[in-house]
Amino acid sequence: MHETAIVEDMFRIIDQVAQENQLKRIDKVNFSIGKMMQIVPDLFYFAFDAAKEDTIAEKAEVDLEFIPVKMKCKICGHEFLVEDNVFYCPQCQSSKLDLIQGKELIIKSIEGE
Amino acid sequence: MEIKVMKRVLDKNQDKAEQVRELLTRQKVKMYNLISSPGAGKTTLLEKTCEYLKDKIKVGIIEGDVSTDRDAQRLKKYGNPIVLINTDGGCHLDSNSIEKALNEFTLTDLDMNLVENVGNLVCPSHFDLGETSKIAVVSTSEGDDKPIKYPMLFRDAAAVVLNKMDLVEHTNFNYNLFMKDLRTVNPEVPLFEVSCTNGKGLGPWFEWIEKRVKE
Repeated sequence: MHETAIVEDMFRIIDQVAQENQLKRIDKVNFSIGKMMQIVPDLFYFAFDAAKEDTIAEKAEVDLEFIPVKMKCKICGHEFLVEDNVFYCPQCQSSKLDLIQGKELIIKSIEGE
Repeated sequence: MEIKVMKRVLDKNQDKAEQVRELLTRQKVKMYNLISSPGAGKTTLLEKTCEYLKDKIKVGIIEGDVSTDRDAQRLKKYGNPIVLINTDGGCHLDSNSIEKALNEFTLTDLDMNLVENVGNLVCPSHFDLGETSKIAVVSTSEGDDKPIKYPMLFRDAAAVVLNKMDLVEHTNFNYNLFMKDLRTVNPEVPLFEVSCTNGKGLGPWFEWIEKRVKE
């Protein structure tokens, strides 16, 4: 249930942004998640709804954008999206890969007044 | 109005993990983070490993447990310095608690720290502790589908220990399928097939972990 720890840390940032911008109400949080992070959306929404109670975000919704896993081959330099957890370069079959995308946990923006 | 934020969540854990990594590098202490489901055999593997490494290299233990000190009690008899972290229900260790635990050791007296994470395959994989590497421990009685279900751990792991090989004939564990999935996720990771109960197969694992200190 790392969703809870992630949501807790999100609210640390949300509070900070709300204070800096003197927000009285938060309507929406736009959040990007790399697919490698294995977030279960239902658990995430549940954790978010529990955390937002009695805060200025109590009516806020959260929009999740899932970012696909992208690798770069260390041998031939080919960049490709990983599907079905197959971690081979489709061009040269090498397994020596660098992850260049897919572990993100980023609050993109916050909407409110 | 929409406010652009672009801030990383859990960046505090990551920053702290980097500090821990720097500290360990400075002190020349390797740290391995053992991750598995509950009951895969992490504590038994640690017991056998401590027993073998006794008088060879100096090993400290960080024992992550949800609430009790039972695992720490089991490990006491090998004489290693042990620090227990109770997470009070938390499903993973984080770099902040590791930094505090490391303060309890005399790091100049250690070659290696072995961390037993909380039994869980998902959450611990997402929290960098500042370790040298992660070690995935899995057992035949859990089924053969762990690598493909939890690719993040099996990709990041520097070694995989497959425990309870002595029970394999009593389970429906499909070895060929396990190997196929593991190699799909991580084609090169060393795999140690062991039984912590009868000791079979542990030799290569001991040699591997002992060699890590000298790297």
